[in-house]
Amino acid sequence: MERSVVTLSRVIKISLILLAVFSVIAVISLLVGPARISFFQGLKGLLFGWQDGSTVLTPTEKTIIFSIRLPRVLFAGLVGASLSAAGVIFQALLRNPLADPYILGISGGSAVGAIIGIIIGIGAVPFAIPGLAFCGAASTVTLVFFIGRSNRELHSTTLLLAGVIVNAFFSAVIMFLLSISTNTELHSITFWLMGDLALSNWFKILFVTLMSFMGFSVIYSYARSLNLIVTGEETALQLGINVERTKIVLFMAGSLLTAVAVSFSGIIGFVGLIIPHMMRILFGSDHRLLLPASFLFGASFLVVADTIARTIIPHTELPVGVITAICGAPYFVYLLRRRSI
Amino acid sequence: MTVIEARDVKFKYSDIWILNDIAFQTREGEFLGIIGPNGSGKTTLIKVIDGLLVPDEGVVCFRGKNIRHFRRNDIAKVVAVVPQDIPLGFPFTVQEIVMMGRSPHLGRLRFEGASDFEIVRMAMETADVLPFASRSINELSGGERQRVLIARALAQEPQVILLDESTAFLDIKHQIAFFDLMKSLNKEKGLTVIAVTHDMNLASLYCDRIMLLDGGRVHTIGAPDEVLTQSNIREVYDTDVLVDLNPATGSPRVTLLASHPLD
Repeated sequence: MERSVVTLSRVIKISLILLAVFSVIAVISLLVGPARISFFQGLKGLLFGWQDGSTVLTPTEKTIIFSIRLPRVLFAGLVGASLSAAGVIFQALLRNPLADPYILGISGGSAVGAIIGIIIGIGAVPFAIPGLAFCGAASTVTLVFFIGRSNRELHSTTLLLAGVIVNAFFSAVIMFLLSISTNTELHSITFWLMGDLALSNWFKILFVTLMSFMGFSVIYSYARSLNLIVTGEETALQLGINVERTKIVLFMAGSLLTAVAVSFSGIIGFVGLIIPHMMRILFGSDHRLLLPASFLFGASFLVVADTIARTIIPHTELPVGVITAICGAPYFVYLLRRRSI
Repeated sequence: MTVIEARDVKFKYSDIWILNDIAFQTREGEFLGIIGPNGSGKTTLIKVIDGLLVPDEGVVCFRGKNIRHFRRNDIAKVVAVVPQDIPLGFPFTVQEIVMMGRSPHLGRLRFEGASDFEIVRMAMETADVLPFASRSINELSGGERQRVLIARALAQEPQVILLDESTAFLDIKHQIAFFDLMKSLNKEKGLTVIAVTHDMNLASLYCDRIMLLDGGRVHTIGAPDEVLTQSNIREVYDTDVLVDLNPATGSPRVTLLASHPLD
C-alpha cells in the first residue's frame, strides 16, 4: 500500500476525522439502551433539551441520558483510548506484535488488589476497589521493572519473561482467592475480571480523564524517539536519542495508562492488542500518527462494544470484556492470516 | 585538513583493555580502512570515534575539538554510521527510515519541514532507493536495505561516514556497488569514509590508507601496499597468505591458502 510521509497537517487531519467518528458514535450510544427513548426525540433533547427548563425530555429521560449514559460513554471512551495507546507503547517497547497492555502482569496485579477488596467486603467504600487495584498494579509494575532491568538497561526479552512469570504467579493467587470466596463475591469478582464499565460517576471520570491525557501527552512527546528505537537502539543512540531514558519514561507512562484503566474498569481484553494493529495497517508505523489514531479509535471501539454489551440481551448487561473478546479474537485471526504482523 | 584524530586512545571493558594507545589521523576526503582479526577492537574503535564510548585515556578530536565536548545531536550532524542491517518487524517505509536521519537536526518534537524533505529526496536519489521510497523496508532485499541505510546516513548530511562491516551480508555485486557509491561520495563530495571490514581485497581496492589492528593496538597504518604484506598478515592473523598485485589495478591482492599438513 502506498503511503505518504507523516506530517503535522496529516496528523491533525486524521485526528480530527477520528474525533468526529467518536462524536457520532458517542451520540448514537447515548440514544440507545433498554429505556425506550425515541431516537429523534433523544437527539432533539441532546441538542436543545439539556437546559433546566426544557421540556423536550421528561426528567427521567434526562436523568438516563445525562446522568447514566453520558458518564458511561465518556468513561468507555477514556478506557478504550488509554488501553489502545498503552498497547502501542508495549508492542514497540517489547518489539512484540503480540504484546498488549496486560503482558507485563499489570492486569494480574490489579486483579489481586481488587479481589482482596471484594473479599474483605469494602466494595461499598468509595474508591476502595479501584484504589486497591491501582496499588496492585503499581507494585507489579515496580516489581517487573526491577526484574527486567540489568546493568542500568531495560531489556525487552527480560521484561517479557518477567511479565510472563509475574502473570503466572498472580493467576495462581487469583485462583486461590476465588476458591475461598462466597457465591456473591464470586459474581462481583467475575464481573470485575471480565471488565465492567457500569457505575461511572463524574469524579471518577475527571480523574481518569486527567490521568489518560497526562499519560498520553508524555507518550506523544517521545513519539519520534520511539520510531528510532524500534528501528535499532544502537542507531537511535547514534542519532542523539537518549534510549534508556525514553524507554523508562514510556514504560512508566504506558503502565500508568493501563493501571488507571484497569483499576476503574477491570480487565477489558483485546482492545489494547487489536486497535494498534488495525491502526498500523491503516496509517503505518510512525508513532506520531499511530498514537493519536489508536487513542481516538480505541475510544470509539470501546464505546461501540459497551453499547452492544448493554443492549444486545434485553434486561441483561454483559461485561464489556466479553464483547471485545468475541469481536477481537476472530478479527485478530483474520489479521494473522491476511498478512504477517 | 585533519578531520578525525585519535591521540593515545585507551579503552577497557571492566578490566580488559580493548584499545591500547591508538593514534591516527584522517584527512578530509580520505578513505580509511580498518582491518584486523576478530576481537582486535575494530567495532569498539568505531564507537569511540563516534563518541558513543568514552576512552579511559586519550582523546578523539573532530576538527581539533575533543568529541566529548560535543552534544550527542551535534556529533550526529557530522558523523554518520552505516550499520550491518536494520531490525525488521515494524513496517516503516523507506522514506520514513531515511527521514530518521534528519532527527539530530530537528530536536524531539519538531516535524520535518520542506528542506528536510528535499534533503531526504536527494539522499534517496544518491543511494538509488527513490524508486521504492514508499515501500515497506520489510519487503526489500538485503542489498536494497543496505542502500536505504546509506541514504539515511546521507540524510544526516555528515562530514564523516563510519562503516561497521556494512557489506558483511551482501553478495559481491552489491559489495562492489556499495563501495563504488562510497568512493564516489568520497571523491565528489569530500566525504571522509572510515570503513571497518574483514575483506582485505575490498580494502585494497578502495582505501587510500589501511589501518591494521592487532589486539587493540595499531600494528601498521599506511597505503594498502605497505600494510597488506605477507609478513604483516602472518604476524597479526597467524595465517599464511599469498600477496601479489591485482593485474587490473596494481593494488595488492591477498589470496587465502589452505593449510596442508607437512608436504
